Amino acid sequence: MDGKYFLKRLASFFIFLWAALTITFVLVHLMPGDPVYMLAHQYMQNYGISFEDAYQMAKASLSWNPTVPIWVRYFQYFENLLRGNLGTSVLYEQSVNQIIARSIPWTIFVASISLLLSFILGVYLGSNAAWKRGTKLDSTVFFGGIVLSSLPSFIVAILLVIFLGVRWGIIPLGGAYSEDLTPGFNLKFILDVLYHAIGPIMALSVERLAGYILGMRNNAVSIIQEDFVSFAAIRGLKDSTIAKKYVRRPALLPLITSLAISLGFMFGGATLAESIFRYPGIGYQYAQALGTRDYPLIMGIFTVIITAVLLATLVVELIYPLIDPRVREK
Amino acid sequence: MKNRSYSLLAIGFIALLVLGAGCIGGETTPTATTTTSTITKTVSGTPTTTTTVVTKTVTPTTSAKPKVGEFRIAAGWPFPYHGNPFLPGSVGVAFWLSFEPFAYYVPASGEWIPRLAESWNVEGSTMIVKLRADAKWSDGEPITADDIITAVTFEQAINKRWLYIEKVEKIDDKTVKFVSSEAITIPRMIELLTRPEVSRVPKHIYGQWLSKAEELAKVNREIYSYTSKGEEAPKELTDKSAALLSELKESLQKFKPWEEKKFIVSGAFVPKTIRQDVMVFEVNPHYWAKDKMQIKKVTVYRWSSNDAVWAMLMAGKIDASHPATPKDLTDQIMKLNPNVKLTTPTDLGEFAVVFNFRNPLFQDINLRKAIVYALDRKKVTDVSYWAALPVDTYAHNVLESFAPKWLSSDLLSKLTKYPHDTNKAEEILKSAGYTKGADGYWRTPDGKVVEFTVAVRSDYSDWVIGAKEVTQQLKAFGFKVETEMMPGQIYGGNLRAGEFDLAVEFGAAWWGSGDPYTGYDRIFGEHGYIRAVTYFPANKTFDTPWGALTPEQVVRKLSLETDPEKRKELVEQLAYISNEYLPLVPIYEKRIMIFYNDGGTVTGWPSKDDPLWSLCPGGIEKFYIYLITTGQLKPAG
Repeated sequence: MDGKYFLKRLASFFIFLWAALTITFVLVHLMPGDPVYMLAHQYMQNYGISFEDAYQMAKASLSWNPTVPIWVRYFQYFENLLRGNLGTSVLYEQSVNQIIARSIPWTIFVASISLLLSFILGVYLGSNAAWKRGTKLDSTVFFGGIVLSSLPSFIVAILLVIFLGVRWGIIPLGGAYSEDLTPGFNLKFILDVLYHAIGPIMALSVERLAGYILGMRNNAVSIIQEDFVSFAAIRGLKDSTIAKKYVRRPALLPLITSLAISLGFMFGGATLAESIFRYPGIGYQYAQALGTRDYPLIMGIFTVIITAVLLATLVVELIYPLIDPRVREK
Repeated sequence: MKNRSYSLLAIGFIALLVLGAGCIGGETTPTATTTTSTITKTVSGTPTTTTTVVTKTVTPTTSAKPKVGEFRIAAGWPFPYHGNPFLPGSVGVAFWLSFEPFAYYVPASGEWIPRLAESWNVEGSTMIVKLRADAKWSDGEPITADDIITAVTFEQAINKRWLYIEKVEKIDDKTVKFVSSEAITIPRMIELLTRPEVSRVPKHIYGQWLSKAEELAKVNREIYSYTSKGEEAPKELTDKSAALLSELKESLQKFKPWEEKKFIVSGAFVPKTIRQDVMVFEVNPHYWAKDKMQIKKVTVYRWSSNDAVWAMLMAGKIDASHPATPKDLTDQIMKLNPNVKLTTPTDLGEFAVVFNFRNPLFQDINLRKAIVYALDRKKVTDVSYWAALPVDTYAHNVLESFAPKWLSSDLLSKLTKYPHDTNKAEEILKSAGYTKGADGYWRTPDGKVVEFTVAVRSDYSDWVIGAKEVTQQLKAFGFKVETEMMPGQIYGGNLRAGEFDLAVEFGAAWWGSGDPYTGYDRIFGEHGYIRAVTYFPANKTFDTPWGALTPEQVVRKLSLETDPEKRKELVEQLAYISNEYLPLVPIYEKRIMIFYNDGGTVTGWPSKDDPLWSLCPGGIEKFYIYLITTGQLKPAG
C-alpha cells in the first residue's frame, strides 16, 4: 500500500462524509412535523390539560425557533461540527455530545458482543454446512438460516421477553442493571450488567447470525468448486487443511467487509430491541428523538452512525490490500 | 496457547466494555447522599415485614420478588433528567408524585378531596384558600402563601395560564386570596384547585427570578384583558411580552434543579435514583400525611413500549398500568397472572369522526345526518376499542356515562335519535335531492359523486381500525370513500390546515376537569381545538327550543355561570345544538384500561365501580398517590 492510495482513500472518506451529512441534514429537516406540536401532544396526555394549554407550555419551554431558515441551520451545524460540538437537544436542553456519550457505551456493549457472537457462530456453521453440503447438517443449517433471516430483531426480542422473561423467568424483563445497584467496577455489578444484557444480545444476534450463516455457506460452496481446491485434494492435503486454509479463509473475505460495516451500523441498529428491553442505549434515544422531532439529537445520532460506517469502510479499504494480494496488485 | 490468548483478550474486552458502560453510562444520583440519611430515619421507623409477603403470581420470575412498602408502575420522564418544570419534558412522572394540588376533584361523584389545602371558600370572583398548617417542602421549609403567589406568577408569566387571576394576595402565611376578573365557576375552580403547578416552584429556590416573572405576568394579564373581550392586544404589548419571556427563559432555562441538588418537592415522594430505564422515589420525610402511608417507595419503570408494559404486568413486575390492550391479550395477561384485575373507568374523552366545514359537501346537514344513520357505531366500537362505551343513540357530546347527570328525560325526548338505519339515511338523501347512480354511488343534487376520505393518524392502531371500519360501512352504503393514513407528526397540522374531508379525532373531551364546559369549549369555544380543525360556524345562530342561540356565546356563559341549575340548562342547550346540527359524530366514549395487581405486592384497591377511578384520566399517578397517602393501598400479605 503506497501513500497515494492512502491519501486517495482519506480524501474520498471526507468527501463522502460531507455529502452523506448534507443529504441527511436536508432529509431530516424536511421531515414533516414540528417539536412544539409533538411535545404539546405529550403534555396533553400526561398532565390532563387542553391542547391549547399544552401547546402554550411546550412553546414556552422549547428554545426551538422554527423561523430560522434551513440554510442558516446547515452552516451552524457544520460550524459546530468542526468544533466537535453536535449541538443542543431541543427536548432535553442538554448537549447532544453528552446525551450520546451517556447512551453509546450501552449500545456498543450489547451490539459488539452480539456482532462477535453471531459472526463467529455464523462463520463456523456456514463453513461446516458448505463443507458437508447435501447432508442433514447442511439442510438444517440452511433452513435454519432462512427462518432466522426472516425474523426481525424486535420480534425475537418480544419472543424472548415472553418466553425467557415472563414464562420461565430466566432473563430480566429490561433495564441495564438492577435498580438497587450502584455502578462500579465490582463483580456483583459486572455480573448484573451481563445478566441484563443477555436478552438484548440474543435479540440482536439472531438476525445477524442468519446473514453470516447464509453468506459464509454460499461463499464457501462456490470456492469448493474452484480448481485450486480440487488441486489441493489431488495433492493429498488433509480435509481439515483444505477446509481451513483453502476454503474458509477466502470465503471469509467478503464477510469481513460486511462485519466492518456492521460495526459502523451497530450504533443505530438496535432501536426496537432497546425499546422492548428498556435498554438505555443510543437506539432508544434515537426513537425518542425521532418521535419528538428533536432535530439536533437526530442529526447528532446520524452523524455518529455515518462517521462510524464510513470509518469502518475506510479501515477495511486500508486493510484489504494487506489481506488480499489481488487488491494490492491493482 | 494461542486460543487461550484470544480467550483472555475477549474476557478483557468484555470487562472493559462493562466498566465503560457502567461508569460512562451510569446514571447520576446527585442528591442521593443528602436525601438518604434523612429518609432512612423515617423508613427505619416503619414495620419491616419483608419476609411475610406471599406472592400469588403463578409465573415465577426473577423480578417478581415482592418488597414490603413498595409500589411499582410504568411511566415516562425526560432523560438526562433536569427537574426544571419550565424546560422541555418538564419533570415527567414526578409531576403527580412529587407536587401537590390544593385538592382533587372526582368527576364521577363531584366530590372534592382536600390535599395541600385544608379548606377553600369561593364568593363571586374571589377564592380564599387555607393551606395545611403542617404542609412542608421536602427540605423542611414550610409551604406558605408566598410560595403559592410565586407559583401563580410563574404560570401566568411563562405558560400564560390563569391569566383571569388579577391578584393573588397573602392574608397570612397559610392563607391566600385569589381575585379573578370573572366569576370563579366550577370549571375555573377545578382549574385552580386541582393543578399541581401551584406548588412546584418554592420561593426560596425560584425567588431569584420572581421580579422578572412578575413583570412578564403583568404584561400577559394586560394582553388577556383585550383578548378575553375578543379584541386584539396592541402590538407593543405582545412584543414586550415576547421580549420579557425570552429574557426570563434565558436565565431560568439554565437552571437544572436535579443536578444542582435543588429539586425540592411539595408532594408525597422525592426522586432518589433517576436512570433512563428506572426512577425510584422515596417518601418525602416532611410530607403531611407520611404517618398514614404504608407504601414508602415507588419504583417507576420506563414505558418504552406497550410490549414491555404487557410483559411486566404478566410477570408481576409492576402493580398497575393502563396500556390499551386487545381482548385476547387482556385474557392472556389475566390468565398468566391471576392477581391482575382490569377495570375500565371513563377516559373522559370521545372517539369521534369530525367534518371539515370548509368543504361545501359537509355544510349540508342532510349529508351529515345520512352519514350518522349509515354508521353502525356499535360495530365500530367493537372492532376498534372493545373496552369502550358505544355512543349509538344520540350525538349530544355529553359523555355517555355522564348523560344521566346532565341531561333530563325532557331534553332527551326533544333530541333526534340516530340508531344505525340505512333506510332512514337513504330517505334523507333522496328527499334532499341526492340520487344513487347505476355504479352504486350517491350523487349530490348537482350530479357530483359523493366522494371523500376519512383521515386517521397512522400511529394509533385503534384509531386506524376504527377509521377503516367507518370507511367500509360508508362505502357499503354507497359513498365513494377511502381511508387516508397520516403520520402522527403531521396529523394535527394537516387537520388545522384543513387538509382533510372527514377525520378521526377525540371529540368531546373533559380532561383535567370532568366538566362538560371543557368538552363544549373544545367544540364551540373561540379557541377550541375541534372548532379550529372543523371550522364549524359556532359564531352563527342556530334554531333551538330556547330560540336562536349562538353556541360560542352559550359556551362563554357556561364558563361564567355558577348556579348549578342554570349550568345544566346551558349544557342542555349545547347538547341540543350538537345533536341537531352535528359538528361531529361521536362513536364511543373511551375507557381507560387499568390493569392492577391485587394481592401480589400490594392490596387495598377500591371496588371496580368506585367513582374514585375517575381520577385517573390525564394523570393516573394522582389516583395512586391518593390511595397511598390515605393508607388505603398497602403491602400485601
